Amino acid sequence: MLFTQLGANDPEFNLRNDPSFILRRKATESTLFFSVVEAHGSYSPVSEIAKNASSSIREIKTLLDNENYTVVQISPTKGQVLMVCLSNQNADPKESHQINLKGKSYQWVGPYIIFKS
Amino acid sequence: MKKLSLFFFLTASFSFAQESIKVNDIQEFNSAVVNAKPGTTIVLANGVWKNAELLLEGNGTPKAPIILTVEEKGKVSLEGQSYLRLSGSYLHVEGLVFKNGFTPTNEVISFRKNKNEFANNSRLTECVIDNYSNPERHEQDSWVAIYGKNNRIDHNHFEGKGNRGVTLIVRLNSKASIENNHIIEANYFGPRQNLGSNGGETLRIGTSHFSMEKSKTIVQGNYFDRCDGEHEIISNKSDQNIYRNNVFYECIGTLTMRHGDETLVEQNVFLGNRKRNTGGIRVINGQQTVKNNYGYGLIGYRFRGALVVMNGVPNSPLNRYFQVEDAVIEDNVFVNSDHIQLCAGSDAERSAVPINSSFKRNTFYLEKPSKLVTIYDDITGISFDDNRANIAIPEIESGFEKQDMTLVKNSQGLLMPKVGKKIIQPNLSKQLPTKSNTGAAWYSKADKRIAFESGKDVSVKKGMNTLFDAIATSQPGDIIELVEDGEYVLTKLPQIQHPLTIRAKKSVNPILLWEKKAAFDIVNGGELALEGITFDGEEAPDGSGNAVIRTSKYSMNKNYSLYINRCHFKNLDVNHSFDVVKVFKNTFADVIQITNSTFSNITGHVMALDKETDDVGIYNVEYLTLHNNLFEDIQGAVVSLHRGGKDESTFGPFLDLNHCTFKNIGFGSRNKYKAAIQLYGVQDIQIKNSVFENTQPITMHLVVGEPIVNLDHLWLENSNQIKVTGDQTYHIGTLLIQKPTHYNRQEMMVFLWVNSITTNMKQSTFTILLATFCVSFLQAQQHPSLILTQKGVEEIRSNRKSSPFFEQHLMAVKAELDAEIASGIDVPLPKDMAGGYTHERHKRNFFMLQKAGVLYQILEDEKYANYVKEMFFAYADMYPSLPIHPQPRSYARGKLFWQCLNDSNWLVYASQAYDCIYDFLSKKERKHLETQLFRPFADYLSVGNPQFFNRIHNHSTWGNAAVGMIGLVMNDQELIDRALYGLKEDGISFQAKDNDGGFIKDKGGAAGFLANIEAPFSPDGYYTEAPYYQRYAMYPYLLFAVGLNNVRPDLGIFDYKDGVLLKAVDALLNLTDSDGEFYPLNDAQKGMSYFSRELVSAVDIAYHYGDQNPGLLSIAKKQGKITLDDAGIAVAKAISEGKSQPFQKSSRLLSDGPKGKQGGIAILREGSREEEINVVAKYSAQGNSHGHYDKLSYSMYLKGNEVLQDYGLARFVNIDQKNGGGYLKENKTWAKQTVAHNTLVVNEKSHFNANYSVGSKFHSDLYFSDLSNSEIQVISAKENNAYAGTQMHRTLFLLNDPRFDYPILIDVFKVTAKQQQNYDLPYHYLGQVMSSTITPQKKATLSALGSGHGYQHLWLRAQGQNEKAVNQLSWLNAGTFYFNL
Repeated sequence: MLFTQLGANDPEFNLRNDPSFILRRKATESTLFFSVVEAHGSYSPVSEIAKNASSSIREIKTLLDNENYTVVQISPTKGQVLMVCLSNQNADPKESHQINLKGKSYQWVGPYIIFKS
Repeated sequence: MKKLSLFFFLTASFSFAQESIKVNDIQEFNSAVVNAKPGTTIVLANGVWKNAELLLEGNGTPKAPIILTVEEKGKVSLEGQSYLRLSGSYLHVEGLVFKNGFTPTNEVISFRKNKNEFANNSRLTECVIDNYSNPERHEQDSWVAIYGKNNRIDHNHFEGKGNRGVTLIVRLNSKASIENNHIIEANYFGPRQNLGSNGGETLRIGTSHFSMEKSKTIVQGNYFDRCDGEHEIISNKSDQNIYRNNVFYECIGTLTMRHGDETLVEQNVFLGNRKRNTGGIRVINGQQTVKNNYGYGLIGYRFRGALVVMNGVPNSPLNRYFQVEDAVIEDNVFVNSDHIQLCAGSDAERSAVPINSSFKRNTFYLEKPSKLVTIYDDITGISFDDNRANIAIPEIESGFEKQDMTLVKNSQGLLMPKVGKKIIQPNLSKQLPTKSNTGAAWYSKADKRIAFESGKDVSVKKGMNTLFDAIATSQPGDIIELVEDGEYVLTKLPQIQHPLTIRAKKSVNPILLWEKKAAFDIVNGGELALEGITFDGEEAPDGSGNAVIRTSKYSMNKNYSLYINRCHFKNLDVNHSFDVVKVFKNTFADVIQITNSTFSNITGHVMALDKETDDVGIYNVEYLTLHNNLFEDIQGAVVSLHRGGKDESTFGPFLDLNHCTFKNIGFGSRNKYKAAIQLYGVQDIQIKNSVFENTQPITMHLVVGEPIVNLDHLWLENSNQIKVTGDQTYHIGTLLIQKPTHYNRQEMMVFLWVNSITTNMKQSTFTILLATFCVSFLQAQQHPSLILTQKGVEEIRSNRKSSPFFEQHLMAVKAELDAEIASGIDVPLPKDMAGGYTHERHKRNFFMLQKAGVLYQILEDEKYANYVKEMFFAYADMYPSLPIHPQPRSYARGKLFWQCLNDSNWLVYASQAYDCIYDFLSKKERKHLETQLFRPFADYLSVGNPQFFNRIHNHSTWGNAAVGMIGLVMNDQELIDRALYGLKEDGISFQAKDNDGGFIKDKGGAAGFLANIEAPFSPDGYYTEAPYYQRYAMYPYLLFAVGLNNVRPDLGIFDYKDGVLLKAVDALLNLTDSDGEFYPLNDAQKGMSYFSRELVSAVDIAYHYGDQNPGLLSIAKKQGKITLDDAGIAVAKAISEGKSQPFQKSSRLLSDGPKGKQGGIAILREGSREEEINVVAKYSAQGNSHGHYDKLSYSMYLKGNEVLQDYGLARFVNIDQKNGGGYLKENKTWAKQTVAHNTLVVNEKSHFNANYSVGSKFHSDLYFSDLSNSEIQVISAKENNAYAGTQMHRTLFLLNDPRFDYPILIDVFKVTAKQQQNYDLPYHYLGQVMSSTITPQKKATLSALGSGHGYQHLWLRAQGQNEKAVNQLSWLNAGTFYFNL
């Protein structure tokens, strides 16, 4: 991961100095970038109280990624785990899909589904 | 949810009953029928059953019917000469489809075997009869005939009956069929074309002969979709039937209680949508009840009114009209339905007026007040109580109250009047029939009639039979374009068998020659549109009776239309009787329309539409329209139009003739009509603004149906007769005294006022001779008329005091202008760039001009008019000698400003000011300004700068609007045409680019305002350059559109491209974050919002000229400003009346591309918390020269704050110190580059290698989306062209789960490539990093991350290796923590 700031080669200060981070993968063929953005909590500079300053997500994982299906998992800190399944080649809302993961079979209709368990 | 639907899917396949016999042919079918017992199911095997004559005979039981069904629904069709008879009881027929043929008998499906054996207690369900029409148009049959008792006909689909005969008929012709208790429900009655004859009813119950019998049939929950067969959609001809909860969608005609008493008509919905001839309910006979029905936009008149109560015939024979008595008409609501007709049909025969009837609690609303009720006779037999309307009904003494009403949508989406806080609505069913809940769910209801220009473009070069070959291989809806000047020769006769457009390419003049007896034959199914072609009869065979266009000689059971625009017909004189259009008996045109065309040297008739000579009410064309044509040296008649007989079941024909010139017409010895125009039995005659010079007379025989006849503004020279015969009334208005100089233009308005003649003659012949003396007067265009109109001014003057919002703003503008006037006028010699003095001064001047003009109109204070006048004169002194602006930066330099774009801004505003003081100036002053300033100004922007004007680009829109608006004020048709259609010749290369790097010329060569609406807006109203430029571009679009709407309402500009201009305002408002700021997609300066002046104007216009969406008022309130014109006062008035409601933004997809097929933008807003999280995903086309290389990028907002940002543009607009306010070079080196966006970069190169020409060829594609579920919204798109050999597929989920404070964004970005490459996926977060699982190695000295494609602008500050399988980064911005994994 790279942390960058805008403003190089800018002699006239024409650019804002905004920050960015960059996920970098070198010398790779096919790949999957899976990320989650969670907005949470609040901070008051008056009371100096930070509410809910840490994330409610424990872990995220890619369970499957091939030509036809991508399956990712999000584990919140409490309660059910979310499993997001995507059909990569057929977006027909009436098409049924079946995949086997760790000995279990999952079926759904349409291009995506979220299972909670 | 998803799991549930899967489960449902599994349970759906139990249906087959006990004994099921599959039959493969008719023999097997017959033996199965013989052996059938109660409970037997006979299954027709999949495939086509040709000529199958089916008789299902037997007796089932209530619990075990005998079933006839199909192996798989939709895979069995009965074709050729197939038909079905039912006989016995408890029969059940399901899933049959009749198509591709017609019945050899009188009924396709008959509930009887013969005269004595019927079917009872039987059901016909999910059967389809689709275009199964006898090819002989006037050969009569019915599709379904119901005999017997207790039968149920449900969920069937009947569509496209083309020949004569009722679609579905209930027969009562024996005792066994009386008091039948049939139920007809949930059927889909699909489109039925206008038959042009009696016998086109969609449903009929009984006949006049049995009309005294009780039928007791219930018709409920059916959907009638454009059933246009004839005057009676439903013809009730028996006693005690019920019509309940049916929807009539754009059907012409009425539900007619033709015979029979005690009918109940309730809870029906008639949606006319202001289609011509749409009607509602017609009451005849005794004891009829009409209650709780609803009508919207029904505009038919006379017998086709929204509500018609007829006069009867005293002691009527069965087949005439019984007197209305004991009618109860209650609680019905009619909105924008134009005609209520009482005692309709009153004449010598129909003299029995309605008696003992009541008319109660009915409500009528008319948006535009007009005469609603027509009373033809004595109405004292009807008692009126507690009815109301939003207009006065002076015709009825009491029982009608005028109440203030507004219109609101009820929960079913129907517009209902509201009085105070109460919505007035009939007691409709909660479950209205719709297209989807009626008919057979598995059979498509898509429209079958293919529209013109829906197919592909085919280019055809000149030569022999090139056109013939193109027609022979064409597909329905194709456009055949003749692309070369010169001769197209037909040695064979092409058959037009589907809708085809044949037209000349722009600026090309093809000549068509033909060697057969006609150039084209329109055969059954064919329709033809011709444009820009010269038809020269030189090569036609030397024999009599040639034509240019013919119909089939044989019966056509499909209606056709013929459109001819900008064509020339000449030398049709090789022999006698050479016609232009030749029609044959048993053909019917919905429309024949000829516009902007010339006809000269013709030995026959232009059109003899009089081949139905049986005089039984049949005719050849419904709508005949002739506008702006020249007819010269024609030996026959121009038109003969004939409708004979006394039948009243049809509507037309309609003749609309306007702005035509006739010279030397009709003197050939073979002209049997001895007329230039002969009209016989025509129902609507409009002949206006036309010149007849040395012609035979116009003859009209007026009989039957109270025709509407208007002849007006005609110049007749040596053509001094209009001959009228017949017994009906007509009106001849003004006839011209002076020969007009422009025949075909609206300017010809000096006319003579002959006393208006309205007669009521009885069988006499009357000839009107022209008088040569009388009053003349000049009609001129009224001013102001452009943006502010005279009507608006009156409205403002009388309402401004009571609209504080308006008045406050007016006073603020007045104060601003008073200060400006006090500081004097300055019109400096132009020299500066944007931001400099002369630039800012001229810019301020045009704003002040426009405002001063408006103040003059509203406050009537001449000081403002003088200010405008003085400033215009200062400009007029300077302009003629003004050189091109000295700053050389633009590809199209202006004169007042550095670019033509700003000059166009000036003219758009100045036109409005000129319109406001037009009448204040003398004619001489106007001439001075027009010749010294406005016309040269408009010429410079157009012919002087075609590279600016003739383009598909927001710059050109300004140019087009500027030229068009001043054209409208000056009434300069040449400028208006130039603005609308572009310059014909521009001499620009297809390779030329502007200074932003964009291509100048459109690939198809289109230009002008209409083309500029067509190309950049998607059907959803998204503008391909994205919202920042859409906001800028909207202003001229809307302003010119308002001007056109006010001055040239005939153009219907707000309906153009399905109303896209007003849709665009809605799209734009939805492209804003919670604070009203636009998402900075493509080149966009952050902070631009709906508070901009362009959006103030857009919101006001969208409210006033659109559908008065109360949500817009809340935005106008937030804006705190309004425009000082018609739209502004409407908004201010509505706000002060408390109509404002919050504007609802929603998650949505906005397609990109002229046809909506070039990807798009998705906005995800989280359901109930829509103001909080916004995610904007981009998978659109390049977006012209302002586009960025940012395929599959997204940005994210929380409460209007950016969480993951889009950089926007690199420019400081109007800050002189920064490159004169222009684009900075970093816009190209950074802002447009891929790395500046939240999307994937491969090998440190931007998408398409940052090549604009390549990027402009491609767009991303939507893979799927689901925005309907508030718990999870998802958008998924693919991009396959940005990098060679690399497929990118990104899916974004916005997931709402109570475990999280806000919905979380799940980002799944899949990359597929066969080669190894380097990937960078940047996230441009805003805020301060709080924590990270990566330990970043900080750099002691900073260096640039790369050397090009934007990487040269990034300092690398820190770098870390992934230490865990999952990385986390947390940052804080504007008081909220963000967490990225």
